[in-house]
Amino acid sequence: MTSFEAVIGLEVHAQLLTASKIFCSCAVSVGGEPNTRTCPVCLGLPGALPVLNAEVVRLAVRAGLGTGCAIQPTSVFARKNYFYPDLPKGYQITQAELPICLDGQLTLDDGKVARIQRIHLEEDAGKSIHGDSGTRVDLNRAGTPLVEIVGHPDLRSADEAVAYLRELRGILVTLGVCDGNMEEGSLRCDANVSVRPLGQDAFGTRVEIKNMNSFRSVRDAIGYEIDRQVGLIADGARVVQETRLWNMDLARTESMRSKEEAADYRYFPDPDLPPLHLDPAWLAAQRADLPELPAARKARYQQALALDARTAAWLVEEPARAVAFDQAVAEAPALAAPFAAFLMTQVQAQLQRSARPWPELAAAMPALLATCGKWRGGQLSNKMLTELLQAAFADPARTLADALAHAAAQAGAVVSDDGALEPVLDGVLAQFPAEVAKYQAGQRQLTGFFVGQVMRALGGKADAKAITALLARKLGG
Amino acid sequence: MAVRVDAAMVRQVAKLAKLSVAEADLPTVARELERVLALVAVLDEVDVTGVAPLIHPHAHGLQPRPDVVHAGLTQAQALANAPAQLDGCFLTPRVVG
Repeated sequence: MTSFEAVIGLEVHAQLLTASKIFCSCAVSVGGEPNTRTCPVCLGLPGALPVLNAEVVRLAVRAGLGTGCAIQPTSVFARKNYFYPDLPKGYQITQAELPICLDGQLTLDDGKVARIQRIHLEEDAGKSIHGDSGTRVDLNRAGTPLVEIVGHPDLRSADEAVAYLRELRGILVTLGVCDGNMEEGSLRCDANVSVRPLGQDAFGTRVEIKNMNSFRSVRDAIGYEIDRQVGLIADGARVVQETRLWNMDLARTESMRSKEEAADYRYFPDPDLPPLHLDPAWLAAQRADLPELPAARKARYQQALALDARTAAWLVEEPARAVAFDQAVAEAPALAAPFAAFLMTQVQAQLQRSARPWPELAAAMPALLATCGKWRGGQLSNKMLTELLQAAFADPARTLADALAHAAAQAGAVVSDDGALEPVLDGVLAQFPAEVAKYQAGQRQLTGFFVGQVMRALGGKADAKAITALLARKLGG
Repeated sequence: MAVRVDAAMVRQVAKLAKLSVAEADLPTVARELERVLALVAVLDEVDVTGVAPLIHPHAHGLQPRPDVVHAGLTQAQALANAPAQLDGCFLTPRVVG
């Protein structure tokens, strides 16, 4: 059977973190009563004129700089014409021939480079709610500033598409361009997917997938679509060029509309908006103002802090997490690697079971670092640590930092002095003469067994290192 | 250069513009559109070699505004001209897709 390869390009819409809309002074926010954040501009009333938000330009330029794009000294807004109830003017203001950023790239974890074709500015449409009595239109979202980041069809698998999206999200969030929340729709992703026989240069027929609102949806939808297209071709059928929606509940893509009639948007420069010129000095200042990006941060974690690749990638994936980590370990770089591993395993496990939000965790970083330090130093046993974390994360009355301090006080001290450990160890040795004989005959792996028995007798609150040392002294190490 | 406009093109343009043009009127509208295009085609005679495209007559470019929120319209004001409304929303005939 012929082997196929997938060809995938992503179009990502990111909502910009501004206070006001792109062309008017209405507030940008989620929720609230419908049609309470509108004005003559975003309602498309005759005679109302758009005025560009300066912050939108700054954020789009940051997105471009962060993805290695060439920032265009002059860009132009255009009208994209189509009729839909949630588009009050009958056109969307976007950028067509002359977008603000061109020719960028992302480097994925495995070193692969995926090219970015362009980044352009545009306004969001309103929201349509379809019901039996008709379609209700809420225009609170109309005019929300977006950047659309258009990737080249350089991706070859669902996993690569997810890696690209994660890398892009990390950059946008680090730069403060977008909050990166896919569930709430502030980061949205459409995928163009086609398949072709391995070795063929020409692209196959392309299908656009929409409605993927999580990384998992992106992976599942693209994976499903690749299988569907390969199946069609294997059966002698043809792939139809169309838009398909991901149905998460049924785990399949479904036909939305076919593109037999190519969309005709009749783009032309918007006469209401003169060209946008960027001052070179301002642009240079923007370039100088960029923070450390995720790729550089990840490299620093591995090289300067000796983190392994997986832990470094996990920290960097959520920029707020990485920033909080950096602040916590600034004073204790030697603890960085064990603390990172501690966050990724013990703390992450608790976090997944609790409703503690990230900002609270960030505030508790110093307390977590102190807890990790005590555990590493033997002042907390494994069992005490787990119980302490469980108690702190499940304590609804206190902030996490306070709950950790409280739980630490409750946990008490670990038994580590020989005077207290020795009678317990003696009891264990008397109880297991056969194991003692084996140990003395050279089976040193029984150390764990004896430590475990002592630990059990002391309710888990003992210093394993102290027991090990005592055992070696008693039985001859 | 003269552009030929046929009935099919008029139908397509009318559809995009959401205008209804009676079949019987298509030839007339086609001839009228041809005359409009012929008028604009005069511009093709100008030699623009070496002239940068003029995107906008305004020489200064955009003057952006600061990112500051101002109160807009109330829900009642926003919906004042709506032919139909429901639950604080504009209500249109059901559209899907």
